[in-house]
Amino acid sequence: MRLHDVSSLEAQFSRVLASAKSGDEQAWTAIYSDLAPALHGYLRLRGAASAEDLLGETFLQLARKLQDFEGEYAQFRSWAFVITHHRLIDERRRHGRRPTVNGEDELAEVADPSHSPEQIALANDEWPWVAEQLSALTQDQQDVILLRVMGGVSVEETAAALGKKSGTVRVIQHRALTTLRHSMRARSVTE
Amino acid sequence: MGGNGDDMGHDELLNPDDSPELAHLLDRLAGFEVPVDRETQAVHLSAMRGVIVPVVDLAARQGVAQTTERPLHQLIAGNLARAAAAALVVLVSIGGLAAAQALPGPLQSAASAVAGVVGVDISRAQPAPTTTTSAPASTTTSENTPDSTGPDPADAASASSPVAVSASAATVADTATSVTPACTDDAQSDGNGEEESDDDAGKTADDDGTAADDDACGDDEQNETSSDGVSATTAPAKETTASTDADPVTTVDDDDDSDDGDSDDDDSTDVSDSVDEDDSSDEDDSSDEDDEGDSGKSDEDDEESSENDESTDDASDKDD
Repeated sequence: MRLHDVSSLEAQFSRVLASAKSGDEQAWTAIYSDLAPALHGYLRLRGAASAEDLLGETFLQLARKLQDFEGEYAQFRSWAFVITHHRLIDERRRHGRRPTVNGEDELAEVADPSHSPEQIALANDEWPWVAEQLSALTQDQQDVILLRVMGGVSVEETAAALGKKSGTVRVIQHRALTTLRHSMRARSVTE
Repeated sequence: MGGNGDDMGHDELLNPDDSPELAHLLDRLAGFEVPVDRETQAVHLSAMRGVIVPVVDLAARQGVAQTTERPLHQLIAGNLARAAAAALVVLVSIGGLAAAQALPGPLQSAASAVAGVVGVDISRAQPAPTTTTSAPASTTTSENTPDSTGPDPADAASASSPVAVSASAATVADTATSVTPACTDDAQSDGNGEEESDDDAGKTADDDGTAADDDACGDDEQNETSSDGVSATTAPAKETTASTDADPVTTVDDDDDSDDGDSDDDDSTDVSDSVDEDDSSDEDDSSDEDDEGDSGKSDEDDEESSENDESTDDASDKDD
């Protein structure tokens, strides 16, 4: 099982990357279209106050640094998630706030009628269930799980992004999964 | 970046006896997306266009294939180093794009490269007034009579006095400093520059792209960080000193200390701080879990102690 389905961008990433580096707008649009929803989802899950703004900043940074990038699609995706995470950290610093625990706040935001029909449809899907499960995790655990699972970020890169050691990230990941197991088990018993 | 890349899947996170629900949750997370509305997309793509075009233009103009900062670093580190340095100083201290326009060919090309990185199009500058373009003279002259008109700017390209150009810039004191050179400073100082350590796209997890990176190379903030009250005669004098080492940017960097303080260091600290805040709660939560889930995980136990250390002292994060 892959972390993400094979996207059209992934299938032709090398060519798109080369085109993007040469300034081809269509290539950039393809990259944006492929990654933006996932990065946006990450920011939403992490309770970003200005998810769209951070998303824009992320892509600006990608545009600035793309010339230096060498790698495959999975690496590019991981890189984008790490940048997104750093943007999130920047926002938290600016706002002097702790991240909002995934839960009601985010649910209300995503379910906001001002969002597009697609977003509303998404909100009506399994999103509440996903957010509920994540709410059992600490912020560190959410950071690790989301970067690892959503972004396909390696343990080492996750550690670097979070300012922790790789071993610590593994511990946090292990505990997060343990917590999820217990939480799901408890819920299934209750229900 | 990307660690194991294609081979990575969240199956590796699961145990064989894990419930289908957990696998389902990870599946959902892996594919979790929130669409971006068209209006926002348009804004983002438009903003990106503003970044991409100058970057590509720079690469084309310099004949250096498809790179941004690195070609500039190479340019500065290479045989045009002094020309680039002189051009840079002209831009910084004289403050006039017009002045750059009057530079001789190779020097103007170097100036264009420097300006291009920060999105300035020298070709659009108005013709340079004589008083502005007449740059600087020798180092000695410039120190004593900063407002004197010196020899042809071409002299600035000479190996011995690239920065002397700057000393003539007394008329534009408010542009005496700029962060722009900070980017080139890095390039000159270590050949790679601060950018690479943070942005190693596709290489390491450093990434990145925190605000620090932006500060380091060509953002709008650069213009905001001009040192207050630095007279034209003061700044160029320092630059002149630096020029003898072919490192004019060092001086500019000194002027920009306030700006530098807003850069990478802050970001790394922030990352650590924000994470550390959570550590304590994480550890609290995990105390019970250790008894159950972590048994037999001696390595993780070891890590736990290190995690505790980190959570209690922000500075220790960096040391680690």
